[in-house]
Amino acid sequence: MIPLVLPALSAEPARIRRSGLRWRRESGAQVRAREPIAVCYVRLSGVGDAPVPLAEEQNDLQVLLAPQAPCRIHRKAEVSEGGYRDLVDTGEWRPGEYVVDAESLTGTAELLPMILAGRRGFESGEGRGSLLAGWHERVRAFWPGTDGADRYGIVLSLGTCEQSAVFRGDDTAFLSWFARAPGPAQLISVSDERCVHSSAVLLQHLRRTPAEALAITSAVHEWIGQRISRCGPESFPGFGADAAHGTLHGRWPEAQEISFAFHLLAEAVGTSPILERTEILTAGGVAELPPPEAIALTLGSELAHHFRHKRTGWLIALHSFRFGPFIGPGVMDWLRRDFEPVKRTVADMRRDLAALADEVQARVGGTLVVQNLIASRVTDRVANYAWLGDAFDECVAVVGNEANLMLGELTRAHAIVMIDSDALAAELGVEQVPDRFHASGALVEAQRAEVHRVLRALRIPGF
Amino acid sequence: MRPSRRIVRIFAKGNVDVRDSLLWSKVGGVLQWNGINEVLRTRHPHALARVRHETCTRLDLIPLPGETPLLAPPAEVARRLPAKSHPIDRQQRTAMFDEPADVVVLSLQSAATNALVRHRRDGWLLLPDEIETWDPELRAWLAQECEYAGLADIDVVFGRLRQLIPAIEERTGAQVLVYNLNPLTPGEVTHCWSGAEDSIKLRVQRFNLRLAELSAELGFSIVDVDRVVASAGADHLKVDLFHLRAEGWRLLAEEVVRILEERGCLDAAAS
Repeated sequence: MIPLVLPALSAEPARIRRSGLRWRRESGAQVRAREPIAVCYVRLSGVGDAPVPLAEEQNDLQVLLAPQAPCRIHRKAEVSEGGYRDLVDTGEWRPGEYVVDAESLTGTAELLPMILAGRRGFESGEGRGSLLAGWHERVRAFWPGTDGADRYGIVLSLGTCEQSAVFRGDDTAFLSWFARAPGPAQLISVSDERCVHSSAVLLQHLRRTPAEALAITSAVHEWIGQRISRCGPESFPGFGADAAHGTLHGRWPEAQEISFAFHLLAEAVGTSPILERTEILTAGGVAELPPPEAIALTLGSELAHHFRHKRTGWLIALHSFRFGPFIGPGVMDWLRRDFEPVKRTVADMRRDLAALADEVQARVGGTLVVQNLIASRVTDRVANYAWLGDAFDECVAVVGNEANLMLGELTRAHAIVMIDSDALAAELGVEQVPDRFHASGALVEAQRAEVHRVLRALRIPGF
Repeated sequence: MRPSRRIVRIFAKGNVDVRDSLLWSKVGGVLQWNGINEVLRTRHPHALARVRHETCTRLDLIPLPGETPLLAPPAEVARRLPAKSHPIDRQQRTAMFDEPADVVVLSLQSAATNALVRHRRDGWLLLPDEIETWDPELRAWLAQECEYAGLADIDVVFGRLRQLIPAIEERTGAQVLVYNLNPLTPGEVTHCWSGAEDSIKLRVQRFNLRLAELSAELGFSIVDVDRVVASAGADHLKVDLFHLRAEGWRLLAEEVVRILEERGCLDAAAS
């Protein structure tokens, strides 16, 4: 029996405190190499007046622990106290602390850490419990290498849901990447719940000036002000006479509209994720990493509805499925009143993707890794395109293929590579992805393997 | 009284895709798929397809009615060189307009993928079919006399199709169906074409898109090989860029029958 121990992690001069371990595997289980067996929350503290490292992620900072080689584990009972003791910091992180026994292990006894960091959209919005639980505007995972290399490969995922499946995976915590990429590596994912990251939106964000950010802030502030000033007593149904003894009215109706507009603003006037540097915990202390060197996008983002704010020129992109269930009528009225819809052709997408690739390459030396569209669908059978009439130009089979062709051609001359999801889906059969976006586990795994192959071809370290 | 049998006359001008799906597919002499009549037998028992097949050197070389092919090799060259699947004296001729047909089937395959050679002095074009089986002497002659002429220009191909399809409809009264092409070669995934001349995949995608545009303009039907293969899975259906397994040929034949149903070509044979 070999005692497995906590790995070295340091935030000097800050201290690392941790919660009890929450087990992910049963005692006696046979586990694979790099398969997380336990997780704990960590928090950094004790730096006096100096800013705490990873300050924006303190509330959702987790360390997963995995053996570096296959073995059978036997839990040490006292390292997990259960209940809230495994959710809040209860003790110091002590490198070398014995936490679990391993049977038939060959190799090092030090557990391998994978650190998860979630930056909450709303800091007070607690959602603890499972891995990266709650809503985060940005999540990331990083882990050290096992071969002594110290240069981290950094990949940013900005795509739509089909890309979240590839990067965050079924577990939503990047575990399938931890299993395959030796590290040191960092994966960052910024989701598109607020604004879809099309090339046009990203390019504008990259080029935004402080004056433009101020103008956007004023525009949103003005709209929120109008919403609030329009409120009368009837705007607070929770306090109406008919609510005195119980009511189904719960949330203040204005809350979601204002909140959505505010989060849209917060993203637009915050740093572009393409430029953002990150802090990580390592055995030797906190390190600052440069902006990502591979930026993963999806062509699906280009197809989202785009709107330009009439006065400021601010461009946003929203998925159509968000209208109604996610974005209320007030925001839709705002879009109608203060924004104009922007119809984008494949030529527009080409122009914006090319410009974005050039700008990213020039500013941070990064490459765009763009997942193409799955153009075919079993049920989209069009034998005679004359029957489509004016709808021809918007036919998904046509636009999808046109966009995919455009993307393939862009790879010739710009810092862009393509993840050919269309080919992967066609190889496995597009029944694996009946709606073109939400793929089966088999197809997601094929896409992930292709992304991994491409990252290696791009010589992104750690992958 | 037994209903009379409806004969659907199909003129299929194309190569392995139209032949193996509509007529038959054999591998090593063993029949894998027995053509469109297998589908008709089940779905339209009173219909029978009579398929006449002609290979296609390249779509852009099919002459219009009354047109004399100007780039055909002279007769003595045709006699001298081996006649394989694309007999040289017929590479730029067609019997398509010689007889009535209910359906004419064309395919993009030849236009997207067949590279020709050009006679250095006289400029005629030919497809040196199965050149690896030619005598070394003939191969040397070809190398000396001819130069590589490459693949067809997409604009030339679609310019010809724009003339050809109305001519077929007018001359024969046939419905025109055109096979597109699935661009996948199993096991090949490309993420970057930087530095590459052109790729067959991008070329096929371009041809497929142009075909959809032309279909919107002229109203002919596309046999969407790309969608049919993608639906069932290329891993499962494809052998290489051109060849499908029997299941694939069957699915294509079924798609052709579906289009013929849509087009009313089998109405008289409805059971």
